Amino acid sequence: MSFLDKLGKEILIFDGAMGTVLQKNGLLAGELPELWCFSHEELILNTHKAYLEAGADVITTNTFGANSLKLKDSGYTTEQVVRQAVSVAKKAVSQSGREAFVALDMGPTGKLLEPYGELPFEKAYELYAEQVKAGDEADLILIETMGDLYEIKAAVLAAKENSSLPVLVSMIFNEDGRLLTGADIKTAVFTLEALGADAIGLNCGLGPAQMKGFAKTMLKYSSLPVFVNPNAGLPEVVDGVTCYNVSAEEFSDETEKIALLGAAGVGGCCGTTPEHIRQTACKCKQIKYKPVKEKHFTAVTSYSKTVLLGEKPVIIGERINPTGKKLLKQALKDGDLDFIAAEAVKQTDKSSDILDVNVGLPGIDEPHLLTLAVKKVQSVVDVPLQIDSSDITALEAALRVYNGKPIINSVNGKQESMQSVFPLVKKYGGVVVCLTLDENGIPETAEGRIKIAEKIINTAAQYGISKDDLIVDTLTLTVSTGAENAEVTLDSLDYVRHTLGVNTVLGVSNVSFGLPLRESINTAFFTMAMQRGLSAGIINPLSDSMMNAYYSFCALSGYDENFESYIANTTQSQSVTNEGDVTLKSAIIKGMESKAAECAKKLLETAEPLDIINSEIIPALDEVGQGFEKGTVFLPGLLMSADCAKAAFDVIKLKIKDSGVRQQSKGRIVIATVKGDIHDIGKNIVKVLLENYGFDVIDLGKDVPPERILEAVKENDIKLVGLSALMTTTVVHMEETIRLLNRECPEVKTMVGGAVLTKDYAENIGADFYSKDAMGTVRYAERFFENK
Amino acid sequence: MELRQSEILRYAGFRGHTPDEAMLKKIEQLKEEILSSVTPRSIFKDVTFETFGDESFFISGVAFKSRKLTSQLKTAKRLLLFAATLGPESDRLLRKYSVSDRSKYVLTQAILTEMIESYSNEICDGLAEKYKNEGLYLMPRFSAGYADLELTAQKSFFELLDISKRIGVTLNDECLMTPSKSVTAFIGLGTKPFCTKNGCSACDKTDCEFRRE
Repeated sequence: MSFLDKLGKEILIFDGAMGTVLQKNGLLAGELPELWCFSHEELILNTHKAYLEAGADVITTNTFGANSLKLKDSGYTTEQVVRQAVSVAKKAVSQSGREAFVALDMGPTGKLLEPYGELPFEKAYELYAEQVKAGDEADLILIETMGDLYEIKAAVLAAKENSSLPVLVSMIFNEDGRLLTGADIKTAVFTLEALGADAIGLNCGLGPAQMKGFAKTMLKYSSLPVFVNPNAGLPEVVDGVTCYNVSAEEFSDETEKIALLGAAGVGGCCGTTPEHIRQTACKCKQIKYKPVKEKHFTAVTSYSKTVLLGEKPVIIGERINPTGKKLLKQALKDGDLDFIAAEAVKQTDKSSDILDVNVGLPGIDEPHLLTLAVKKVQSVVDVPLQIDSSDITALEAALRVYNGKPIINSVNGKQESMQSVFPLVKKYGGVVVCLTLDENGIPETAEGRIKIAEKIINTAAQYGISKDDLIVDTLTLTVSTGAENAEVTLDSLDYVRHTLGVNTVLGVSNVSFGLPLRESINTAFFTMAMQRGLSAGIINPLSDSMMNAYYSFCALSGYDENFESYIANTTQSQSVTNEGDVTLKSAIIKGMESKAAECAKKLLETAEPLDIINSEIIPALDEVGQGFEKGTVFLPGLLMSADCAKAAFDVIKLKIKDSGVRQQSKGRIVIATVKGDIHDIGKNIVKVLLENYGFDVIDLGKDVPPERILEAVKENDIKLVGLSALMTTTVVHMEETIRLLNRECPEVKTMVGGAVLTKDYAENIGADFYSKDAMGTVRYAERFFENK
Repeated sequence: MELRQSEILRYAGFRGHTPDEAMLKKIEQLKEEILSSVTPRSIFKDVTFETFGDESFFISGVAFKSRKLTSQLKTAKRLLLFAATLGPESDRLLRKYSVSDRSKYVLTQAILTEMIESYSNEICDGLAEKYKNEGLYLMPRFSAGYADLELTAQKSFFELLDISKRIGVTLNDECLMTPSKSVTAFIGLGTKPFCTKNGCSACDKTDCEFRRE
């Protein structure tokens, strides 16, 4: 019998701890337990056998940390360690004479993935792929003690793409019911189901009594079998030794209760012994397993949270889409991901539940850019994303690196579309937007669109995609070209939602195209659509009237208890506070961001862009900068003004772009935080100020090796480089970078800053200028380029 | 958790001045956002050690080299290994404000810095209370990178305390920690209350912008 024949059919017993058993036998802190498969083969073999004799149906190989990062200096390769460990475990099974399964055990890599840490997602994938390939003799893959959904995704993809073995995933939750990187249990369940895990579970961190509640929550949401491997209680340190004190009897009483809740597997983690497992097996094997029931949720997730569709309507922010947005187009062409990130933050500040990300522009490398954009956006906001592209390669690339279960935008009724999109939905998981059009175009009638919706739903089912993972878009057409257009859209939407029982989505604003006062039509249509069963509206969340319509609808439909959301969020047209005549200059000096943009817009009606910069913005920045230098303005104030100036610049840039006049750059500067150093606040502040003062800044980021800095200098013909380092240990890399630049490009000047630096120290390492603060950098750059 | 306003203002670069009302309000809003979204965690382990000569000591066979700490430990009975972090969400907030609002970026940085400090103090105060019953007193926190204890000591320290697995802090090749708002420290347990200069007054860098008077 294969493992899958048994999984979810009866209660399976997992083995107990390996690590703590080895520690009892003399494994030292810092020693790699995985190497004991060579040095202490008998002990490992006997431990496996003891668990098998105790009644374990699944034993896990001693390979928890057997990845190339951890084995780097061990003298062994991942392949050697994994093969040896699997063979020892298989030997144990064959010697025991029991029918049992060997699970290839894979734990966390030991490094945090980007953006939390430094390990790229792709590198994590490779580390796991190596283990998976070497473990092909195992019966299943057990990814366990995982605390980060993103790392889990790397491991699951590596498992699925490099083997056909069943994949089980088990996670370690904190006492507050969250993973290390923030996901709650529900979010973890939806994300792992989407990724195609065969079973999911809980292990480590807590004892069985504490884990019971979490198991219950997991079972409430999961359509997959759930297994639970608790510690023998919480760790206690006695005389420097970590102990787990829950007895085998107490432990098995609790695991029995967990099995009665509906767990498909139970076993143990840290501190458990063969005796814990023996008593667990005795009690749990008698319980008749009730197979898990399929749940019906339309859920999308981010790295930390879930948005459910089908209850209260949700808002999908539409602004990361270049159609009709000049600044965004320019930002995409320049690869300016910070612009996209800022756009994302603006929309979540306005309570968007989900954000659409579309970077499609002619002539752009969309797979590359969409991947970068998704990575960037998910590093700054915590809401799920809707990945939006008609380029199937771009779609797949972005789905791969997305951290969670996204909305995929979109599939339609054409055979070709379904054939290319559905396999991606199945593989990476997601809720997919289904456009009701096909080879014959967009049907004019509601019946026609419903027919296409039905076709898509049926075809999805053939790919194993449930209608829970579909949201149908019945397509908003412009009313000015056909008065019945809105009605057709809404009639078909109503039918899809209430008769077919499938969630719905609409892009709203197209309805008013060509009409005056578009927002007025948009809000009315949006409200009508919500009333007819719209699950998600793709709208501009920065539009107060749209959001007010939304909050009003929710309040009137009983989705907003005590009108709390309505009262907190609805904006009246801002009451004009009497601030006297605000000029652009004073708005920047005072740090009034929205006013600064407003004033700039107004000034542009009468003045030339360059005049505004020279007579308003620069003098304002100078005044604030001098105040900072004198000690009357402080860093946060300086930066508020900097952001205001940036807001004004953004408005002016648009005009300049239209007029075709090229803005003169004061000079180009490369800046970076040096190799090994991850402190980038100082560098980031310097960047903002330099840009404000009209310099073009090429920001290479943090932890940048000397060679990359040199490369950027050569590539862009750079004459001035700014370097930052915070630690005494990383200043050596600053010195190394300066030496390399002096050797390869002697004409290049370097300016340096950072907490541990002094003027003398800077001179010692060969820097041309030491800046004690960000303004100092601006002044030096001004002098530098003036003298050129 | 109590966040000391004076420390936040010092870290944010107000140089002893009181910000205006709008700025103070901004700080309050940020504190609220941070306190509701950041989850601090900590672990400690009570271990025995042996000193070796004047500049090394051992814990479970693992050596650490520092003349200064070894000399402090001469009067200590045992040692606490301590680690605390504000978790990955604190870094996300910094990333968020670094692209969207630079003054909030600096203020968030300041609040988080005070938060990890204050949180560590709170946990250590609790430990001090607990050990007082045993007649033991906590010495000041001594971290890798202080004085002559090399930053590379972090590697062994992390293994001894199993920090990555238990609270999710990891080291890069240069031994810097992620999440950035994390702290590790040796804390000696002495039989007498420990009294020595610490904090800014113990530091030799007297021209530091952030030095307390």
